[in-house]
Amino acid sequence: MKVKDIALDGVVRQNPVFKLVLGTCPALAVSTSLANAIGMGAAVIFVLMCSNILISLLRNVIPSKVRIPAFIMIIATFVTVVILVFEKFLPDLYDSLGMFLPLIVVNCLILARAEAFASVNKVGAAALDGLFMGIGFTLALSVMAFIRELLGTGCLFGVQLWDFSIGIFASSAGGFLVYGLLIAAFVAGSNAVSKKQKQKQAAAEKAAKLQVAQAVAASEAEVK
Amino acid sequence: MEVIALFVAAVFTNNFILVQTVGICPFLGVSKKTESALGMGVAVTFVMVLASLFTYAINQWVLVTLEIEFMQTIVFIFVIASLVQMLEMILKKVSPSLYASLGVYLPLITTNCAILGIAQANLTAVSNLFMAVLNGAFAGLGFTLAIFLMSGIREKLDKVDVPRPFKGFPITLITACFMAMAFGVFA
Amino acid sequence: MTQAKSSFKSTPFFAVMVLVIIALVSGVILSVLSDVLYVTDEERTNRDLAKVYTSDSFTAIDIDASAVADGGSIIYLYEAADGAVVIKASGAKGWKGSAEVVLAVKDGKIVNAIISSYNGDDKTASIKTSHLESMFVGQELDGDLEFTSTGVVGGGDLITAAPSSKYSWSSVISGVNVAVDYLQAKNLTGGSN
Repeated sequence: MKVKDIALDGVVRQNPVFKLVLGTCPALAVSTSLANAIGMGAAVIFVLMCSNILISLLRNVIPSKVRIPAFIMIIATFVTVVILVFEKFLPDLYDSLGMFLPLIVVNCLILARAEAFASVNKVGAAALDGLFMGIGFTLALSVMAFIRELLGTGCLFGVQLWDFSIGIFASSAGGFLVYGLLIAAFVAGSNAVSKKQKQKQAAAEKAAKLQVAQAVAASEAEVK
Repeated sequence: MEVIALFVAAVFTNNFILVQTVGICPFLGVSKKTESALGMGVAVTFVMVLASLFTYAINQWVLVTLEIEFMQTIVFIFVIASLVQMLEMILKKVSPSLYASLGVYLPLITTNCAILGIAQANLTAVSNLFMAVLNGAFAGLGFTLAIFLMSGIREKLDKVDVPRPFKGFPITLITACFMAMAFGVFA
Repeated sequence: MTQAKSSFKSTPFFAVMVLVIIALVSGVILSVLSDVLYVTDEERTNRDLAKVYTSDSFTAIDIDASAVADGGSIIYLYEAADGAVVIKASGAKGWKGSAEVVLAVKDGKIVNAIISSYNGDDKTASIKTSHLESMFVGQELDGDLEFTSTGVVGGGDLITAAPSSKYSWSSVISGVNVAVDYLQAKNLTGGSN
């Protein structure tokens, strides 16, 4: 697979949060502040890349029957690494992400990529998939957090921008609402894009047919 | 009484799905029909009770005693995965129709954030094994309540015309928003 | 040759071996890392102090056990470079455990209050700091300052406490009272040096 394909898939076309609807738990819980979203995103990118790489390396060694427990243990190890590192070097982030750091283990996204991609692709591709899926995840969470923090508390990165705030956005209810609306927007957007692409393709096919017909007519005229 | 406070918290004010926003995947995926929603709720409650029992006990008597708390995440997820495997085998024998209707979502209980969530919450929220198991049961009840309510609403929504971009997840999530607001009143 | 290899790989023995090896390797790696990245108690204390009050240095003050209120405990007591006092205390257990609170007091007024850990868990971000600010910050230690679940006695205006299901507000208040009691008893009001 080409790098461009993997990248586009991870970030846009198969965006884990808005298209595949994986990793919903942190998407709802951690998107209350932009700082948290980016912190969680960084953690997920690290775990996703590491687990994808290791699982891809071991893909011919791990027997199919125990692959899920094996994948989960590998993922859990990298998550524990993140937890230890955060607690030592980023205590504020560790504090505010709270119980959602260990929950990265059960983030459906990481297991899904391990199963669907890393276990059947070479290391290089697996690493890139991990990177771009992680970036897609981070971007999605950041968009949600941007909306929720700004409208819910009037702050961004904890810095008060204005006094206006609609409390509901900072609560779990607001999370559901923003997530639902963003998926709808994403679906509408991708429908519009694919519609345009289809129109373009149809027009191109029409032009090609026209060209062929003209060529045929020209050669027939020549023969005559 | 501590038990009542625990009950109210786990089922309403700290409802795992609607307030703490964990366990969303099955909530979105299995809430289309009421029977499978209830079945999932019962399965999850079963796993939560057993998981609470084993993870609390192992944490208390093995991890803390040997000072290897950093193995918590790995050990807990291992316990949960084994419990779900066991549940799968039991369900296959006892109720093959439920097993079939839960489909791929049954093994996915392993990755249900709510199970790992309750295992962790027990470590700080309660002070002994019995309360931990109770907390697991109550959390499962809260989960079942939320998913059951959602399935009732979705069955009605199926009969309504929903604009195309909103079909499926978006409308479910927006419904969840209103449910969360209702539960949030208790907080 | 390949035939023998592939049949060994498909045995359940091999499958279990793989899992065991993964578990052992990860156990070793994590135990090494957890030692290297260990957060000492001293480090935790320093983090609390930095959170609650900015000062170049903190000097510890001995705690007089006889002056501590019943059922409570003073965990540490420091004096900042400019005379402000930082105290960490915990009080009675609430329905969900007990909170450890850290107060910074300067010139007889509480300038900052945080919850350092709740029930042994130091992930306290879910506890709204705005509640702590509105309730405790600015109150004067005038000798009989005391907090109750419905407001403040001997202090400023009555502020309604914010009940929460995630933690016991009364245990927070109890911890703050223990701290405030001790400071008032010992007349440590964080006056300027």
